[in-house]
Amino acid sequence: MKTRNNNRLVGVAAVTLLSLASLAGCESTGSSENVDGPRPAVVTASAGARLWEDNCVRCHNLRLPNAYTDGEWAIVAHHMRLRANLTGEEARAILAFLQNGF
Amino acid sequence: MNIQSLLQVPRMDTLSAWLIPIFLVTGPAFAQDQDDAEPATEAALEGQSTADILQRMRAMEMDLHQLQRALTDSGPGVHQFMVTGFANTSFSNLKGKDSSFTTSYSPVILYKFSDSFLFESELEFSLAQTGEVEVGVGYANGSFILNDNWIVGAGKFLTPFGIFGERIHPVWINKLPTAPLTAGHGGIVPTSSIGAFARGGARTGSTKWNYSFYVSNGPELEAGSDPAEAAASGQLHFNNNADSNNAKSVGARIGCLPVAELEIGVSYLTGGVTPSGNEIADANSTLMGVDLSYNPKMSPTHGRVEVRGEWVVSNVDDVVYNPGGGADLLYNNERSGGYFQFAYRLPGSDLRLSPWEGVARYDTLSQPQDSPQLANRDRITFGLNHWLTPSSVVKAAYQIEDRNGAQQDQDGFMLQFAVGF
Repeated sequence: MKTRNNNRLVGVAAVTLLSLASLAGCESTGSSENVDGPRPAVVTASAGARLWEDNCVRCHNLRLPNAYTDGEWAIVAHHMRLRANLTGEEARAILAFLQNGF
Repeated sequence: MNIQSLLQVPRMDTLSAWLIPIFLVTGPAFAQDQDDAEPATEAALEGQSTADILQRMRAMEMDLHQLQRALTDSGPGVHQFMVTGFANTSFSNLKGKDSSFTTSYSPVILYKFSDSFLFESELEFSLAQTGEVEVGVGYANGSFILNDNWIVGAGKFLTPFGIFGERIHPVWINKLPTAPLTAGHGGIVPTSSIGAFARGGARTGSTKWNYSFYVSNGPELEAGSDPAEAAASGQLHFNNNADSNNAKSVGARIGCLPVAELEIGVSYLTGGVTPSGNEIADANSTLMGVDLSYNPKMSPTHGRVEVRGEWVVSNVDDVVYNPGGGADLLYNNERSGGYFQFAYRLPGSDLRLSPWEGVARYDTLSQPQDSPQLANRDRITFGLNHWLTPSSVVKAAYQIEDRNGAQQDQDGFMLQFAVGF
């Protein structure tokens, strides 16, 4: 009984959290904006800096763009795309920002 | 003259061989033409305007940047190799244990061939108390990018169950010297798996999704019939280099980011776990988990907050065990646990963050009643970190532990220097 209750609790919590999260995402599409403005539907080169900050800082401190060479950033970005499940567009935009410096 | 053309070696073929004598005759005339093209002398610059000189300087800067890129970068299809990784030295003084220094080193070797293929690996070197060097493979896998939303791969990979094992375990990323009770040695979630995976990310409107699906050898249930293994009876072992029962495990993690600051994930892993030919009955295991990470956007003048938490339930079908070859033992083999962590980086000056950061984590692990394992554990850890660079840190932490039962609570102090490179 305890097993089923615990599993049900985790399952209900998971479904509830994901549902709330996806609904919150839908609401933010329309009228609400964060302090930085609406998120662009299409990732542009100018969004590379924001994507770098949004994605990388979720796990670790941000390494400066001059921490690695351009070639090393290409390898690191590929490795991090795999680890963080970035889309191709996001990974390219972040890499372009890192390789072009500030 | 284009810098890139200087770095390309012309192919020698029959046509080129005929052109050599022609070039020998016309060479001096060709060189004369080059000599006439804009030498940077005082005489040449004297008659030029400031605008012309600035334009010339910009052209030189672009040529120099191209040359630097060509020397340090490499284009698609060329082998690219990089060694990175992390290391730490720690000191711990915990009740019931001898105080000790420990050290470990984990090189991460990355090999990238073309824009689509990556081989990644992490080795783990640590020094055992006996003086031996212990070597492990954290992960070693190859992956191929199919398109913007899918990557496939195989090998030994960090299991996409929750987020600690896959993203937070490196010592320079983990804000405390210890891993949560649910992870690592004696934990109830896998750190790595051997198998194949498909993963990626996608957007629907403003919501970002990430997803990972995998099939692996899966965990193995420890029967514990051997007296030496009796204490582990009923536990799942996740370090299976080969499938022990011809029953693969399948799993997935799906993460949702309704806003950039918040990620919520759910994880699932199931499969047969009883080794073939074992005396205990066939059993399946099911692991379910939820995870959350929240990094609110804040001005550096207010510092930086990070909130993280995970919860997992692990269930194994009811089977009869004989720990140490003794009496039958049947119990509800369900374990659960998780952690909640809050970290705050102080604001500094000049719109930078302070190097000082405070951390607090509560973690817990519940074991089945009547199982041979340790009793339930609850722990709270307070930490103070000083970041020397973005990837190197000195951590000081104190943990207060509560172990139900006869086990010694391991309260105590820890100090760690960790670096990522």
